[in-house]
Amino acid sequence: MIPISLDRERIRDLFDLRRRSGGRWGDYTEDPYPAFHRLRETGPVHEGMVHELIGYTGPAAFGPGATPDVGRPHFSVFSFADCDAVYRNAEVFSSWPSDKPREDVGLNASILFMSGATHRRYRTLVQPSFVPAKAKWWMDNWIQNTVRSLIDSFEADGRADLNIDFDAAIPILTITGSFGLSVEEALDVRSRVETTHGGRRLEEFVAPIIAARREEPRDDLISVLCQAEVKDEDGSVSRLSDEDIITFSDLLLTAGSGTTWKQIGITLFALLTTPRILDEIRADRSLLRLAVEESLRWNITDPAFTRYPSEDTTIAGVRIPKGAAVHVCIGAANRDPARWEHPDAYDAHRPLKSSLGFAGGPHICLGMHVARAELNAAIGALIDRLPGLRLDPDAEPPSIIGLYERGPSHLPVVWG
Amino acid sequence: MSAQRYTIAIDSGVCMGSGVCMVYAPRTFAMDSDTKSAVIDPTGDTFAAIQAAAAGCPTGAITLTVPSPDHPQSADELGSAIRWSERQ
Repeated sequence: MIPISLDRERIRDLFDLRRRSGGRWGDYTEDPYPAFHRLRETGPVHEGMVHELIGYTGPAAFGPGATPDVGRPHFSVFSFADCDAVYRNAEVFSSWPSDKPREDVGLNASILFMSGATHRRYRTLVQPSFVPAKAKWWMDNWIQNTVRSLIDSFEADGRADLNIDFDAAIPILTITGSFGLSVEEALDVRSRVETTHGGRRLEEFVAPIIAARREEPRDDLISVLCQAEVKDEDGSVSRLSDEDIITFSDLLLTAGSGTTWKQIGITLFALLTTPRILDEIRADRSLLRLAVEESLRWNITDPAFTRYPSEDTTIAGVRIPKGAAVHVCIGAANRDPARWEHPDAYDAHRPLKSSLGFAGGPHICLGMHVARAELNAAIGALIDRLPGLRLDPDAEPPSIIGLYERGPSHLPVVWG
Repeated sequence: MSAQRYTIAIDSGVCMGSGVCMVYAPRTFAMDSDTKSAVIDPTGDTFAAIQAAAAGCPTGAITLTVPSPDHPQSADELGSAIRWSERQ
């Protein structure tokens, strides 16, 4: 593996949440959880969007096409049981509004917005590359080398902003590495994802790789997609088109590179601000896995997702009309005191049970086991290689910021 | 758990191969060649871990049943696991 040399200023431009504007990003700096608790206790279902209900008055948007879906009634759900039930009832609560024509380009054509048998057929194609047993494949081929090279690049400095120098780069380099892209190409792609202008379009990078892998498969993800067979309802078998593979690549890149980065940061934030648990992990590495699972519950990077009922329905006794948007606030669900004692505490010793950190139901995060592998490898390697890792006492203390995409403001650390 | 007093059933038509069960009970569940969950050792993990796996299954494909009524401590918790799967 060639050592990774990264342009830090470029990374900072691409990944620093504080340089973003708008409510998805960093200009929301409050703690939303007190409001989540209040809304759960007084609901758990309320009319309105999550950001409106917690009192954020700036522009904020998410959902298909990232528009606020003006004109649609909006409801938000804040309890674990009801959020979980919405996800599980995918026949009624669809990820794409039934009154809106399906789009067949880019991310909007991806499995995120498919439903029923079609969703299952397409997801089944990629699922084998993302099962827990495949974590080793991801680790050996891409994650471990990336983590090692990144630490090499700053180990001698004695200090780093882990959020930029480390966390941000791991997922994007893992995903693009699995496509067969170089580091420079990876940053060009991220630039495109972040800004929707500038940079080169993903298909410009991926199309030639697809052509090459169709000729000569390798041990990588594009080769898997090239060889995958789609069984249609009539039993006929076909291969994915180039467009299908580009759509999958787009999804993996968009979904995989932003979320995991911020969740690595959130987990490190939790550990660096609770040094007792970090010390316990140093003494007993088996606790790291639990510390990671707890971070996914305690402070999930993307705290809300949207579903659209295909018929008139009710949630917790509240009538929800067909065509409404239902915002599933997994951030609030994951701190529901009906499921977890002292839910606001970050406690790696909790008995392990499922949270909605990776959402739930048939659309549960495809990349969750890869994300877990990245989280565990990244933090494990920092602990191994940077003894005495701690927050820089001379730097401004970090905080978790952002509204619909949350992560640390920065993670200034020293070691030795 | 010294003696197994429960049975674990997986509906492979419902299983989507998410691998969630293997997060909570990795010594009990594994994936077969069709990317479907399979029980490799029904006592591989604690009963609580197996319950967490069943409750966490995103498609409710795992059903735990306790044939013997002399399992009072877990029966109550089991009820919630079964209710979870019934939401499907």
